[in-house]
Amino acid sequence: MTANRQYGNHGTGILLTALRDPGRMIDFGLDEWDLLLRIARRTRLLGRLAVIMDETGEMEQLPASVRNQFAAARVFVSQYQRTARWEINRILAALEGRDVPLVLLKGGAYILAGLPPSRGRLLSDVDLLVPRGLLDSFEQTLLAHGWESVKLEEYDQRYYRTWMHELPPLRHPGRFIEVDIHHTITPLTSRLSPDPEKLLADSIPLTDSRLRVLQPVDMVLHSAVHLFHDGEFINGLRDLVDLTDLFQHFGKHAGFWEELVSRARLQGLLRPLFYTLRYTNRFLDADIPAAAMIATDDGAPPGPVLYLMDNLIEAVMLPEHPEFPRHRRAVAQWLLYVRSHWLRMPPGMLLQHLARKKIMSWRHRKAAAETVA
Amino acid sequence: MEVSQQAQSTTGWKILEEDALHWEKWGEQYALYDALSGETHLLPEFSARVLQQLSVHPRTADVLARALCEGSDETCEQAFVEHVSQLLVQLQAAGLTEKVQS
Amino acid sequence: MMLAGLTGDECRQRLANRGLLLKTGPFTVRVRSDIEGFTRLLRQFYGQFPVMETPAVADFHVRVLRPGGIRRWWRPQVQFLLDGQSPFQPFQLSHAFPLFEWGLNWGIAMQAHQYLMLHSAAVERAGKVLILPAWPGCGKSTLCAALVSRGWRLFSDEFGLVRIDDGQLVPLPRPTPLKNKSIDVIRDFAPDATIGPAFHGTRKGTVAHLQTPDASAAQAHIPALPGWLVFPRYRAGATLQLKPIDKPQAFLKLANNSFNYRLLGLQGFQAVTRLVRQCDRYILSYSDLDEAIDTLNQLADA
Repeated sequence: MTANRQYGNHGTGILLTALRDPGRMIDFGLDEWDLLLRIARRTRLLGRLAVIMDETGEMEQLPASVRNQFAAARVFVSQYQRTARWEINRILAALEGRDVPLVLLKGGAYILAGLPPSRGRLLSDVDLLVPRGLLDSFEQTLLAHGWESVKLEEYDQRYYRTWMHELPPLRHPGRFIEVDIHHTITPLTSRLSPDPEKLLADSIPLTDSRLRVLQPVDMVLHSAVHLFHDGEFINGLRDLVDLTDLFQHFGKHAGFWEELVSRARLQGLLRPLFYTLRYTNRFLDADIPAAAMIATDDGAPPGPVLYLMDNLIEAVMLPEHPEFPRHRRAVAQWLLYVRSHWLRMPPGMLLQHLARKKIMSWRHRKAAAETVA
Repeated sequence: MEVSQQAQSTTGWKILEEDALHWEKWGEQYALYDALSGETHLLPEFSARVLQQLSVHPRTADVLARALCEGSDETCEQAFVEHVSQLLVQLQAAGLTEKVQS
Repeated sequence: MMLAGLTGDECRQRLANRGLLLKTGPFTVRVRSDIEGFTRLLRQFYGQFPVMETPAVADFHVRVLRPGGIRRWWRPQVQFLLDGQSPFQPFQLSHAFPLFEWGLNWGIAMQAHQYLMLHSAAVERAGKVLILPAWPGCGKSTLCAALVSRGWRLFSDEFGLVRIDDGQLVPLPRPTPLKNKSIDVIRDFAPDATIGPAFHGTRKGTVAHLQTPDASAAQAHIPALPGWLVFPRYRAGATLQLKPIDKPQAFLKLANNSFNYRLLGLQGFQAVTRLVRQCDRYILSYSDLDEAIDTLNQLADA
């Protein structure tokens, strides 16, 4: 196992230690805190550390300067989560009791279902999975209730509607969160094509039965696909933390791991699951049964590709020291970005798209494209 | 959706969640913080009383209007019921009230 | 140890290496720079403030540096980095100090959400704080500088930092940036005040900084409760008028004046309603600075 492997970069080491074993934070010295707070803020994990520190009940023992920064971080967490909950509330209100199965994905699902990754989780959009047949009427309902399409360029509209697995994001004026409506979890052109009908059919209602979340194994697989096939590694470490939490939470249930592997096989998602198990275990010490590791070996890419991925993922997911940024991070990000497009589009289309992006200097919502385009 | 005036006055209304509402009263003016939406509203006394009535239990505009007329010498005119109905719709747009789903 | 207690070389050395840990109000700022003119002004304007020894947890990690490339020689520039990232376009090199001041303000406004942050000047007298919220054309900085030169304790020219748990205001005394005409107004009004060099052609015109009085600097760790909320309104030729305003009006103005009212949610609502309850509330229309100061002194002494 490589769990205790040393990372040359001290900043990375301290963040991973805090994430793996929060109890050790209490023994950190001032220098370590100074670095940890900076790095955690950059990786959008400061709020999580704050909430977890609160849960330990030992917050009072920390230096005042640390407590203050944690307090400020918790303000962000509350605001983001309140905004997401309210957006979901408004969507339900817009539906006025009509029976549209509304499956929450990612952050929204974790928060509304009260799952462990919701601890300190920031989110800038609400992701929903809606049956393809209801997509148009659902979008029309939101538009009729004041939501507006965020991407107005005709090319962007066409790009989303033709090739993507989601509609162009919607936003209600005066609110600060986007709604992403998905009808499947991978782009239409992607080589992976899990069946969205299965996901919907097996989804689980929440206490408010108008809302649903994916069943545990699908929740994990969706998060894995999103992380390794969407090309936006900006929140990569945060996403790995989500997955590690899910493993710890669901992994206790009998049969979870066997079901996870067989579901991945059935949906053709062994590759992203392989990566997920590999990197959650490697970076965050996720407790994964050896049997599950072995069972996903079929999903491994050829040796040289794996070697390359190991290096790219480490360069992109693990934060750099703020004072010593490494050029290789930007390069790795670009390579992974191109790869994600390669995965979702035929090559001719890829060149067309990337060139197009450059010409239009498309303002991508997430910073990933910005930093490399 | 077109709803007749008649239907409107028989629709039940409620507030979303009483615990989410935080009040500050200054004479006949109220500030209201809604912890669900994160919005702050400045309300005149009349709107505040409508919301407070609804927090007791859900009501139709008719019943609500009559409750508000109680203790005053005025008879509860239809025009007043309509005024209350309109206010409820405005409060709905502000995310403070919603229709009771039957 | 105060910054003035370091020799110029010690100061330069810290700035060039691990950083100088400067305490300003409740915040610790780690500053790194190798720009000589900036170092000199930092020592002048922050001389009466504590420097901390490592190890320490800083709230802000700031670098004030010269970008590489041709700009080192041709129309040299200066760049502000907060935690390794640059929120602003570079300034001309000689404007390093105002750039640092603005950059730090920006960092505080973006990050210090453990407080309700008002965009206000705040000064203290007899244990109570007078809050002067900024609004267009109000003359907040001029009024604040004038009050401070007449013995009020400077809390801040820019930030009303309100503690969430007990509603006390927290001092953050820093150099007060005077702009354009108000530089001469304060020179006339307070001939003894120390005003630094004028920086011409900044995005706010000409700026010169007024030094924090020693007494205010020495009490930078002592918070106080709010007492008065005065919305200043400067108009040439206006007769002085101190007009009370009601609580709903004050609430609205104050919530809108805050950097982070919405972000704080319920905490923000409770903090602002508490402030409105605690304070006497006025609009002050004035043109003559002496009259305005007299009026505010009377208000405080009443």
